[in-house]
Amino acid sequence: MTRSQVIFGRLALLGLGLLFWQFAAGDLVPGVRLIDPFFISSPGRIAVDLKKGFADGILLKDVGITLFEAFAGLVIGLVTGVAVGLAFGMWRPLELIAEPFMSAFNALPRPAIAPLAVLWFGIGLASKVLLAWSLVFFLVFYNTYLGVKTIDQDIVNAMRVMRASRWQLVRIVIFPSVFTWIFAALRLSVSYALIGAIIGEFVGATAGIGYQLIAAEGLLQTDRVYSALILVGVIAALLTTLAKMLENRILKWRPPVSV
Amino acid sequence: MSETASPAPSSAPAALIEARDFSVTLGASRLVALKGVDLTVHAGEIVVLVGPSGCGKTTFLNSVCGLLPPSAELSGTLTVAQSVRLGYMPQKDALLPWRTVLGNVEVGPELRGYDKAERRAKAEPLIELVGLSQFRNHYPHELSGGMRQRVSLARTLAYEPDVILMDEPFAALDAFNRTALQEEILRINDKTRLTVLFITHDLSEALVLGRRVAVMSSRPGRIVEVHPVDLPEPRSAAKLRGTDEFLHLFQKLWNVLIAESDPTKRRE
Repeated sequence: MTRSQVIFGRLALLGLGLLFWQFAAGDLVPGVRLIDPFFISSPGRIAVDLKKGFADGILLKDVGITLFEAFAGLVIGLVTGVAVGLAFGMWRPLELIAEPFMSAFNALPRPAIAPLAVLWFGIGLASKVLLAWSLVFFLVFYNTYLGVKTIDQDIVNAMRVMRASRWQLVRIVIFPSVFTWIFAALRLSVSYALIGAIIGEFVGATAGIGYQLIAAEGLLQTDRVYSALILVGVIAALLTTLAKMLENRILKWRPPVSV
Repeated sequence: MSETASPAPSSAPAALIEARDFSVTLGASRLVALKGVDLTVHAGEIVVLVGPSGCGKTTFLNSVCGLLPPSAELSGTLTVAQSVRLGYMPQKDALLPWRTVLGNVEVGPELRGYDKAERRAKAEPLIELVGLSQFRNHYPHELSGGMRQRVSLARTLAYEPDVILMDEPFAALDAFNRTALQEEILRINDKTRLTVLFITHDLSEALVLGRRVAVMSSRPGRIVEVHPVDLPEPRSAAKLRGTDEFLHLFQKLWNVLIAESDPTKRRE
């Protein structure tokens, strides 16, 4: 199949799906409906609600807040994850003593610590940043740590024989080799950061897409629940695509991998 | 200053690597890898160490490089002349996959502390020398095994080492590429005299490249015989193999190698 055929096929499938949804909710043929739109809303109703939400400025503001929380968690998670990962990978005693604790902390389900985060940092931004960080940090930490551990020993030996200093070894071999692992984790980190922020908003917040979702559900505003859900989906898709493009650009030396 | 480098400054070439009654015991099992090895590598010569697999050739090379595990116990002497820079070419190319051909060759001068412009100036002619100018911006995964070893050779040369240590660098290549790379080494050696300690289990490769060939016994490895290879110069890897001198020498050393690799026929 050519690329344009594939794209056309996808659009057609999407269109058919939306059309059927609209029909099932009884908004396509008057008098015929399969399920009450109270449960499933309909594409038309969601479009109207999205338009209203953006016109109010409420949804835009909430999208901005959620993105800010996720981004802050992502950046802090990247920096701390790389630093701690390098420390674990390069200093064996630390690895031996502290690694089991890292595994234990990482095993904690994040929704379970969300109430604690809100208790500590209140219902503002900080608790969401903390939750986003707690997901990103461990992902980046483990990737960095593995990146250091799996460095090709032949390369290191060749460098040692050619009298590479410790700093040269770090700069020429270890950093680039670890970067590839970090960038490979970037795509997943972006979605994790978003998940962390939204979990935090579920538990206690006054703004954000997750907050809008919970609030609309409480008020039985099905259309708004779906609008928020679709917004989250679109944002997540855009961000992961962006991360993937960045990854492909920076890791262009790799043999192409087809998924 | 090394004691071996001082006497007779003009006549005899300096000994850059010298092993005297050198033995290595490895690991907790106290495996004797090398026993009483005597071998000298002088400036400007290619010495080939040939022996059966597992005889301790690589252990000797790693001793010179300083890559032995900490548990290794050494006795006797192994002197590497002071301020000698070692180049190292392993069997696996050990290229940096995230750098292009040019970037990989630049690692040599980079380790010597040259700045960006100087690195480039040193790397370019060597890429040309190994015939990869067209591929200077390619990544290692885009190259064949033979091409990758050419890059590895260029990188090693770009480091401007005093001695190049080669650990079966062509063993993983097909016969065509192996001969082509042997030819390459001979050609470069005709231009700029190299000092090389080359390790192989391939006797024919040893005779093509070596000015002296040291035959090692099976484990525990020791040098059984060091034989000069007086074959017509300049050499050609492809042509040399058909000559009478070559075949004669091959037969002679082959017999030594066979006798030494079979423990039942071994004289102790």
